[in-house]
Amino acid sequence: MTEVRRPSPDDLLRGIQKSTQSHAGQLRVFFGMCAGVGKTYAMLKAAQEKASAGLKVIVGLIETHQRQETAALLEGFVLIPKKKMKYKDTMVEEMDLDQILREQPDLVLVDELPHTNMPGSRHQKRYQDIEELLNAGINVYTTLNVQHVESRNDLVQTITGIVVRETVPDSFLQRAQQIQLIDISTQELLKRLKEGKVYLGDRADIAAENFFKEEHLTALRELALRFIAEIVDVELKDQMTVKRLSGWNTNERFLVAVGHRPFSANLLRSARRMAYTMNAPWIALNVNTGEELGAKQLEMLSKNLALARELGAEVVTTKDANFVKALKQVIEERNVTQIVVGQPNIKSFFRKKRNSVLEQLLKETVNVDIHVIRQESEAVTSKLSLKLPKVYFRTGLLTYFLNLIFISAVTLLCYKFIALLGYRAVGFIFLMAIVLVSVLTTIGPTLFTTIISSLAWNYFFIEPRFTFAIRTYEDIMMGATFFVVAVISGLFTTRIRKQEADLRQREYRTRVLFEIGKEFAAAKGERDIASIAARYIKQLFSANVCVFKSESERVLAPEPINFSNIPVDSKENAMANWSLVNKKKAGWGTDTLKESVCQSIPLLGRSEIIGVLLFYPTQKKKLLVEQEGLLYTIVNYFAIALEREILETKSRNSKLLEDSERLYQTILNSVSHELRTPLTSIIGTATALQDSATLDNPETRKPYMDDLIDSADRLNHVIENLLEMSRLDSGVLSIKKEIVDIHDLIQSTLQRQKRSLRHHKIELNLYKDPLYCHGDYRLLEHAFINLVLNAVTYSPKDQLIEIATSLKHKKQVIIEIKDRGKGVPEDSLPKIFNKFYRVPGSPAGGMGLGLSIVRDIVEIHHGNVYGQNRKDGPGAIFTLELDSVETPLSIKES
Amino acid sequence: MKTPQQKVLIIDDERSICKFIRLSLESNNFSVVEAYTGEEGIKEVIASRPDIIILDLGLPDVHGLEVIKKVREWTQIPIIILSVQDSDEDKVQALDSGADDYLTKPFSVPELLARIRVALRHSFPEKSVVFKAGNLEIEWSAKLVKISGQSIKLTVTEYNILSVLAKYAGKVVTHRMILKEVWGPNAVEHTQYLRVYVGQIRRKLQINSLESEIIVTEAGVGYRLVVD
Repeated sequence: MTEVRRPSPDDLLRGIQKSTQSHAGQLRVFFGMCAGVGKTYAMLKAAQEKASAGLKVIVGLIETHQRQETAALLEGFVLIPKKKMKYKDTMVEEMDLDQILREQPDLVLVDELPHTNMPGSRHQKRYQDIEELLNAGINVYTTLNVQHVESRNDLVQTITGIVVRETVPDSFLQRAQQIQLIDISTQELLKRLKEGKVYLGDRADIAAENFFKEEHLTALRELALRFIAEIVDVELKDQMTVKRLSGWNTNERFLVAVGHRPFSANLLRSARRMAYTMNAPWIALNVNTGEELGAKQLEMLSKNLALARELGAEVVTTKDANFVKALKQVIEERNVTQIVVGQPNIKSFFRKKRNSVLEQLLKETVNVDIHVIRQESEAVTSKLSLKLPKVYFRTGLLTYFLNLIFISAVTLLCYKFIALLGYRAVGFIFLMAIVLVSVLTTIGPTLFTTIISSLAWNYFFIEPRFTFAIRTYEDIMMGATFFVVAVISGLFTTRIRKQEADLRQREYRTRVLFEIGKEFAAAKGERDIASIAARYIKQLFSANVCVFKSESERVLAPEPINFSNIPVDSKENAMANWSLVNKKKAGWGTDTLKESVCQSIPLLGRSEIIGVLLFYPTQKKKLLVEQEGLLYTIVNYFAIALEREILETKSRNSKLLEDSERLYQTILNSVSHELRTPLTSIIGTATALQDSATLDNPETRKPYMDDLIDSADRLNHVIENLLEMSRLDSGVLSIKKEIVDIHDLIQSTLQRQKRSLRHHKIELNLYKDPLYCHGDYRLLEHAFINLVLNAVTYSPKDQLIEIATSLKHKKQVIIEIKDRGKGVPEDSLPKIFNKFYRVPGSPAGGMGLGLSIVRDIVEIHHGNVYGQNRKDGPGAIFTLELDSVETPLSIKES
Repeated sequence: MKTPQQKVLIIDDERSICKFIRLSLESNNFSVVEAYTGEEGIKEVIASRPDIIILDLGLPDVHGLEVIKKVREWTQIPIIILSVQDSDEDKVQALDSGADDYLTKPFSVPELLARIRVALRHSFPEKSVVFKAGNLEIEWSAKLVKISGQSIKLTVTEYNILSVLAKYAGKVVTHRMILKEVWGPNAVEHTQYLRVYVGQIRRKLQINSLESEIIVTEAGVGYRLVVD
């Protein structure tokens, strides 16, 4: 399959991020081949320009190395004094990061990017300090020499023979908007060195001898120039990606295998260089083949993995006894196009086997280029023991004891039948016993069994019996066979056990992740999801968890979302916030604030950061690489589940908002129509009345007057309905429930609405006894008016409107309003109480609010309202049912 | 015109309302003074000594209630308050602190004139032996109630309630006022009693048809006995 050459979204994003640089500060690096080229000087010069342009520039930290020209340039800048800290009884000084953050300058100058901070500082490395400054929106100028660039570190070591320990990850340098090369010729530099402009005093000679050799400097200069050239190349590609000029980068992807060997670091750097020049993503893969690793090797492995992350690799760990198979799987899954492998040049049995890895790769992969990096011999420290599975002696004493009994029993049994069997046969019986033991137990008890078996066989059965003497070679051979069989089958058993254990562990891991996934999918709400994550983490790592959601990109919610009883102190809170802002882990087991009792892990969703999880281990033991992997996978799952929940809530809310906007629009349209119609009529009638001919004639004046009043009444009714609706909807409405005399209510209301009812005949059929309800008089009155006016609106003039009350089952007051209009179309019946619903084809006037208000009011009173068509001819019947209450007091008086 | 012109003070910040009230009152032989704030209104009460005050409860500077309290400190001039539909509490409070009657906006001119007449009449109460309203007659001395000449048997409480309403005939009487006058000051919260009694009275007076409702319920406020 040929890939279409087109930029991935990530590439585009990276390009855009660089070209727009949102709110994060900008980083400018003054870059040179070594000390003394004038980086600090150039930085100060550039800063002066900015300061004279009116920006607030402060000096976070500058090492002048007592160079006078440099010191002179410092004048006029605000210098942040170094922070004094106590470390092991001595006072040490470090850059005061918090003070700079408080000052909030536009630009801060921080010299010597690769510096390592004293223990107890917030970050291990100065570049981490700078990262925080950048994230706070502060622009930073800094200086760097090529030997401190992580990916060039090994080359520098090869060239100069000097090990440089302080390095800066390339991924950090990628953040720089500008890397400015400060370059002078080697001769010039040496001249400056001699003049004492670089280091002062005797130190100049020492430095020159070690580092400032002409051939070294030339090589370093070339390295620096090449580094800059590469960056320019990549930047050009980024630009092309953004501007869609041409020449898309092919979607190359690198893969490098990382192990616990020191050589892995070299491999990583090589891979990084290649990937970077090709502007390709790269994966560092660690395959756990089940090899037992010592503490040192484990440490080396996690160091290598950390290095890989620092260099910008995506770290993948898998577990598979077959290294090549695992490699192949990742290659296929991730579309890897280039592999970087090492070729150690040691010739031994095991190395040959390793070479066969290369051969297998060549044989089994088709579309992948393989780069082989030759290894210098000094790095090889592998021993035979690394390759062989470690021998276990962990079995409990009980097993040894049981074996002793078993062999004693065998001995006893054979002793009885020795005459029958002969000692050779007994020897075979012992051999069988050994095989049995080796299959059932591990190698320790097997060897133990072998020893006692051979002793027992020799002592009790071989002639001369009851001595340890052996005469024949066959017997010696037989004894040796015991051991060979024991060792071989013991080793095989152990290996099988180990594989079984691995398999079980992998199964366990898969099952755990499956279960979590299932539970997350079923969870309802953020709190639920958080408590599921907390429960699993507690089970698996015996650690407590506190989850904080982010309120914005920089602010965490004050309260955790899961029910946790861990007191989170202000320091941990600050750390969690730091994790949020910097999107990085911090605290226990990391490089940042490692003295903390917990680790804060940012919850990174697919599109944004969701919050921070605080991980409180109950034991201080560092997590194994696999455990760490599982933890981060679970946290990742959790973050994605939480994000999904948050997005769902958001989309629900936006749906609601959309609905309410639509409703708002409907109301607006309908209200403006409803208010305008009577107003038009009022203005029209009033202006007609201005006409003296109309005004002077009482005959013509009367209908105009009536119209005027009717329109005004209608307007008033519309407004009352609107007000009532908004009160009912907002819940502001305070209901005053009291005893309501229903007949009083009906009569008073009809009295008051006399005018509106004047064109219709009203017939009242009231129940013989007074009916009482418990409710809000005004609201019920409103509901009743709306029903009556509805009947008036929808029935022709002079028609009869019947209003009847009755008592159903002695506990329900029924109010019926029957009209002789057209009735309601059957399919509209269920909808007539909906807000803004109007029966299609109904006369102008009304907005479909009246009945919805009736329904709302009746619901508040736990009553019922429904409409139906009359059976005895056209017309509608609206029925209102309310709970009746007993007469509140006996009114028996004389 | 035999009767001297009576003076009406309108306190309302809505000029258009003031104007239409002025127009309709002046054509009914009242003289009118306008005030647009509470402060102004109180001054005008002293300065122009009106016979009746029409007061809007929603004034820009002080609440209408304050105006009522101030005015009631030294005079019993009838006060009719104007209020909007949804402020029952305000109405009741205003009535209980001394206002004579109320009108809900929007209102019609005949309504306004009727209220003013009743209020003015009450400020000059006529002593009479027999109270008459429509077909209702009450003979005070004999405690006798008649409908269209036929005597009606009322209980003591019913009679007491009816007589309170008749005493303030045409005017709204708040629940509180009735309860206080009939049962005493401790009973003022028991409005549910009142409802039942009023229902009872209505039935005894056999006022069931729409046309002749004599005791009108003023929702959330009280009752009014309708005259003419």
